[in-house]
Amino acid sequence: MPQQRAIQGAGLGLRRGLFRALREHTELVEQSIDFWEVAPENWIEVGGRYGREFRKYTERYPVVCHGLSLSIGGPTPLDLDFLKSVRLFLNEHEISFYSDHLSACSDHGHLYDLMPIPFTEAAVHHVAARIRTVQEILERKIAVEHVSYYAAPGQELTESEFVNSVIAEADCNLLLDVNNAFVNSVNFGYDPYEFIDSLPISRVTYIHIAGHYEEAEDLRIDTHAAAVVDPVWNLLEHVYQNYGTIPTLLERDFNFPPIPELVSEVTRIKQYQERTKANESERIQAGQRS
Amino acid sequence: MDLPAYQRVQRQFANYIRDPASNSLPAGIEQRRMDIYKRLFFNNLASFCSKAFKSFRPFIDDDKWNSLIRDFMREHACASPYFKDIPLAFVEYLDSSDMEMNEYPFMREMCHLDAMRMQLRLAPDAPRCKNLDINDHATHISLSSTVRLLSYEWPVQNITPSTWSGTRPNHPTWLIAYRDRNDTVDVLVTNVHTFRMLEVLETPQTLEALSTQLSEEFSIAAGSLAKQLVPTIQAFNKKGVILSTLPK
Repeated sequence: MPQQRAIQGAGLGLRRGLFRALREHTELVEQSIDFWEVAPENWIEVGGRYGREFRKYTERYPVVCHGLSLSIGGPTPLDLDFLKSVRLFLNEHEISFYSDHLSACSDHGHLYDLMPIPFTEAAVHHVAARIRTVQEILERKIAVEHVSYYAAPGQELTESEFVNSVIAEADCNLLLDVNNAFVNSVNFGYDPYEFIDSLPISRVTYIHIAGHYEEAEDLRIDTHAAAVVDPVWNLLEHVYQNYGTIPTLLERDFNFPPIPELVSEVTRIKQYQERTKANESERIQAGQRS
Repeated sequence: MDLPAYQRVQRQFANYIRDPASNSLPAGIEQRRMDIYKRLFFNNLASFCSKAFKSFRPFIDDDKWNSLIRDFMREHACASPYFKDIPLAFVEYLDSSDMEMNEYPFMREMCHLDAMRMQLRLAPDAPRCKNLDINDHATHISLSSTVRLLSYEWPVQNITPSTWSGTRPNHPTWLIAYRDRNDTVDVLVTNVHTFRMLEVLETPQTLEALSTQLSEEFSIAAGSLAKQLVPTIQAFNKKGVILSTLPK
């Protein structure tokens, strides 16, 4: 096993489009960002200017990998060459956390975006077996993220039953995304708090938070192109209050605001974390007094 | 082959995303919800390709561009998990399609050059380019891995909507696309002899071995050819196109 670098606090998704702006705010960034997340598909075997810039981050910060192209729910065999490249990449950069989406991004070819997996018993077995294979090849537990979705084709189980069954059967970790929970709760009319509480939170490696787009009153799209909205912050606070602080990462992929604005959202994560810790120690002290 | 039920559902879903015009809405799904998928997948690919094919994109209007991306999405199975390979997959698609390219006969080559530029920007680093000592006879020279030698029918590096005349050129265009010592990607126009020299250097070798081989191919005396090659090789070394490597 390569050296494990623990992550803590609050992180930010690292995108090529952010490099230049981040360089102009080095001090602020160093003070505020505890860890970074990258899509391995964008960095495997990348050299040149981007490769050099990328290394500056992996050498100075804890970095986690969040993949896009695994297609764990896809119909064709897992791409073993790709997985071997991922393993080399994780080892080369001493990255311990790897996750991808509980979805399919391909049929007989790659489609480069996320399609829902039908929530059925047979799909659970298919996906869980593939996660186990991935874990063997990567020589570590991986986490899967419950994705945002706008349609539930062929649904037989609830989303919570599906996610829980996959994680139990695969014995893998969970990437909890509070924005996805909110988006899906609007899109499918369920209670996001109940949904989150139904998940195996002890298996959560870290949390995603992001902004979304309001397509209609009853339809939200997970764009990662806007600021985080209050109901989503409330969900994060709910998780912290009930399960303790968990490292949390802001995803912002498009429509980048100025760095100070982006950093202020990351700082807000930290404020929630500190508030939770303060409440916890207050409770402990109160317990000792009584 | 009999697919499990959930995979039949998945196939129907993906078919609709690839080609909404000729597939029916997946069972039990609202049109506006499927429209979101249709739009997200299409826009993702279209916007990636617009950025990648900066040279060709201005030649066609939005309608034509969108129908081109739709054709690509419907017809082609992209094999690579890497986004940077999408432009190459698009060129593969053009090669395999029987699309009429009469209006823009250079389209395939222009897109190929753009795909090469993207590959080069991101390509793994070549060994460091050291200054060449041409007087050291043991020195091996070789083409850097961050160079692509490209021969095209059309001078696609020069064609723009305002300069395009439609006249078919009477000789091929020889290009050297490369990432220089400062990691900037550039394209040089060259001639067939220099192009051939660089091709030969895909195998590392001494200047002497290179001169011997080329003198036979070009029917020129090896001694005088070596003298002519030296300044060219040194210039390419400065640009990072030709590496100097010690023999193993």
